[in-house]
Amino acid sequence: MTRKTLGITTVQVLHAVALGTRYGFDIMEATGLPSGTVYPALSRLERYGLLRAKWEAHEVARKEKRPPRKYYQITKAGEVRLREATERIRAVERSLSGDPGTREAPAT
Amino acid sequence: MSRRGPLLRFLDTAADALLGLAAVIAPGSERRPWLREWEAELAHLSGKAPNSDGPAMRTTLEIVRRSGGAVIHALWLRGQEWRPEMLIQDLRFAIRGLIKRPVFTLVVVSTIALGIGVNAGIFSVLYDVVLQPLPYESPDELVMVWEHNVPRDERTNVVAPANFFTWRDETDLFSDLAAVTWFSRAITGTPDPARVGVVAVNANFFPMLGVRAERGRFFTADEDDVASTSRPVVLGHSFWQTRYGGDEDVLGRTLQLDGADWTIVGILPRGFSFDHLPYAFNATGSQDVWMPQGLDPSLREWRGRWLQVVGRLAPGVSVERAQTELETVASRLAREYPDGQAGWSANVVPLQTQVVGNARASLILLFGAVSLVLLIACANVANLLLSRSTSRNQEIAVRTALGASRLRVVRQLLTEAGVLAVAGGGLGLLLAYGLVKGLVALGPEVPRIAEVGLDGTAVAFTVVVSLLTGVVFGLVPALRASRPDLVGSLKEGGARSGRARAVLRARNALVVAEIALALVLLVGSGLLIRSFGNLIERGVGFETNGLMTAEVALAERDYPEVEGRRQFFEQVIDRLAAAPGVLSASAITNLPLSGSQTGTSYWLNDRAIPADGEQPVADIRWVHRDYHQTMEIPILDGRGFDLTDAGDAPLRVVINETMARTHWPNESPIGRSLSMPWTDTLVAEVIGVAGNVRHDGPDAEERDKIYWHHLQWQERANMSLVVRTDGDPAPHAATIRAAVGELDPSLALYNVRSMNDWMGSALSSRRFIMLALGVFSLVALVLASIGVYGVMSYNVSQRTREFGVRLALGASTREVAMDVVRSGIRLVLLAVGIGVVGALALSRVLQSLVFGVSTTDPISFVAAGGFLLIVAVLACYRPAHRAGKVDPIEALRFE
Repeated sequence: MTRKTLGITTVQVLHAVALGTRYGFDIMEATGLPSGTVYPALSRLERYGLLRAKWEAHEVARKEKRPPRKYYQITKAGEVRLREATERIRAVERSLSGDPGTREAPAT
Repeated sequence: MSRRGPLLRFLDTAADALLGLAAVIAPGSERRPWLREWEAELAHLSGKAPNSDGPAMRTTLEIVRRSGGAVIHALWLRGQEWRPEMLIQDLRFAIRGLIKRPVFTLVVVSTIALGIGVNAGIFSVLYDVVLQPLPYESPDELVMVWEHNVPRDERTNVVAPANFFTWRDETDLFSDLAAVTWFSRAITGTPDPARVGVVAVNANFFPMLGVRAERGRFFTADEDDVASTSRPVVLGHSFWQTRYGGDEDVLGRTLQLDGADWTIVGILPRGFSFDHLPYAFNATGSQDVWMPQGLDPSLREWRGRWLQVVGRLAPGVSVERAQTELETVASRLAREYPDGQAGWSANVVPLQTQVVGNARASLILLFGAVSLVLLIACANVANLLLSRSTSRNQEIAVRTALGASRLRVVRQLLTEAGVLAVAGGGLGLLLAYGLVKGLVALGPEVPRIAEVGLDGTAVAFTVVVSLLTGVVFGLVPALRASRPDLVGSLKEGGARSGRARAVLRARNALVVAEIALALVLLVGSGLLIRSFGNLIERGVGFETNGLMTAEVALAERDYPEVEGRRQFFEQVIDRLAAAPGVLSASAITNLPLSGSQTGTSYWLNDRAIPADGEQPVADIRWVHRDYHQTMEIPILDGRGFDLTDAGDAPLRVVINETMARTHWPNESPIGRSLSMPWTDTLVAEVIGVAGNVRHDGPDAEERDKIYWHHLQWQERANMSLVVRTDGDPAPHAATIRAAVGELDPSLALYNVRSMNDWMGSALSSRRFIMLALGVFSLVALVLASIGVYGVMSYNVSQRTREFGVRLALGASTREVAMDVVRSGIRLVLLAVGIGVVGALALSRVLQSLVFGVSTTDPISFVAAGGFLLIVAVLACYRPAHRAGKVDPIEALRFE
């Protein structure tokens, strides 16, 4: 499988799941992203095998009188990719945060 | 849980619609788990919502927003990326395209607006009147309980106290049962006399309905007792506002009614009414003051019946079970007390049914009509979009050939359909709002009309229907683009391909359907118009023009003796008759068309006396001697009353034609005698037969009627004065006021109305339905002719080349044009045929609403069909004209 680079919002979603946010709507709140972004990202991550989805226990749902929710957990592969992505983003961040004034002025 | 308001309901439906749309988009293999996940998340979110209004609104909006995400998610699963910027791009493009074709855009938008507006408006009325539960606690447990007079088949007869006591105390069918009576009283002891509507209820009445006092309290059980010395009253909200200006300190104050002091203890909440009672035994029509019923247990005598009984079924008791058990009780009572109870059973009616009653048929008819209009509108939109798609075939083919992705094209077309639907929908909502306001203001005598407002569910329903129409038919060209017949479409001749013929067939079918539906509506409104004409022609049995009426009630305290009351009315009528411009004056109890009613049982003395409960029943009226002459009711046999029918003269009555015909079909009733069981049995001689008066309006059945001369026997303290004038009756309201005021300035007049005004009320709901159906059929007609015009124009444009050839070969302009008209007529005739069959099939629905005309009345059918044909031919005119104007050279050069 060719590895596609994860977009920044997808990484945000993966990160939120890694921190323990499990449900789609909670991930929206955690990341501040709209549902139209979070869900495609979740589906994409699930297809890449970076996330694994499970269904909440029936008893919990029944107690709250609603259908059981689907929750997401990060996989081993997901953790690896998240670390890589984080590294990449850090690198980008470093390259952007460097103070332009400290650079050597081009020789005149 | 509090009921969700119309806006919240609209948003709920919108969220459902979005999720539904997304579910359609989501690929089948993933749909089930996908839907489960979304439903669970949304349910979780709405479960977190607190129930108060502000946060509920915020949460609901959030749910709608997130449901939009579901659509995007579903698109993604289909393999399609979608970002909001794309929408803006598409929107800009669509709007630009639509502005470039203003006529097309205008026609589509106004068609959608008409469809949505009319549909949402009428559905709102229907929903609030018929479907919306009554504004009481657990309204489906509430019932009205009536006595059922079996021999006369009178199913909603008022109830004797004894039966009420028995039902309440000796069965366990009801958790609450309350008796209601409705009458009127004069406010006395103030310089500002007025007549008020009074309702007496048991103490459990308000708690049973779940009503809470806005201020103060309701009645206690002790107060609801005949022996109680306290006299508490509760004021209706609007009476409190108008009479006391909403004064906060009104509690504890005294209100004098007919000379007796009552203490104000409570105020009802705004909007509370219980005016669903079929029998208002007062004529003010208002419910101003409420007082305790205080039924005397000694009223367990069986004769009189006057209570209206409302109850709440005990838990687990169904209407059917209550009905069956009360029938058993009734047959036991009939055995135990044969003289009062034989022939009487009971009838349990759910309150909702009771309230909506007769209006149900009319409203369902209107809803059916409006659904037809919506269907026609949808057919029209479909037709217009189809015609547009044909003309865009080439554009799409070009764009696809140039490499536009198929999805891009589909999205573009959908966006365009969406813009049309939204614009049309927006206008439609404005129209619906105006329509509902208008209907309520028109105030037809529809029950619960005051509760009507634009309904969220109705609006959502119509918006979804029209959006779907737009989407489905916007998709047709899009689908075609996905099977691109590039070569065929790129060639100019593509229009004649097999696919074009299929489109033509589809369009013809749509137009045929539209015309057929419009015909059904036209026939329906034709039948109603004919019925209305028949009713006006039939009239009520007397001349309503030039009559002024006003009601006067004399207080027992001021006129304790019947003689004083008689003298008062004699004097007033003498003064009125002498007033300038007055031709004649008189008085009657229970004025025709006013809705108030008194009846009696009776028997004929030249026949065997029927058993109790099987005696015939007649309306009974007490009149001043000039009554029949003033009303211009003909005396058909014998004579009317005169001054000799007073004092010690033998008792005499005038009966009506129906009664004379029923009992003495082949002989004169004059000189026969009849008996009436009142306090004493009254025996009277028939001296005259008067023409029939249809008491409840022109469509009312004719009942037996007995007139008494008020100088011989008078039971009532109130009468309606009637004045026949030589011109406009309106100024004579003042004449009546002056005459009454001179005799007794403390008396309040009420129901000061001309007879034509009463007549207008009696016909208002019929007029309303007739007008509404008329408007719908006109809208349908306009839409259908737009459809015909559209399809004929399309046909002509498709046949340009053919016409060119024929004209080049020497055909005349006229021949070519006639050919187009002929093909139009063929289409319309086919549609009319189908429509006639449809109208015949549906005519049963109208059965209860037509009068004096068969629902298969050929005149209505022929007129509607002919009218439609003419309109359709006119719609063909311009396309035909265009066909004749085709330039052969241009047309042939096209190839």
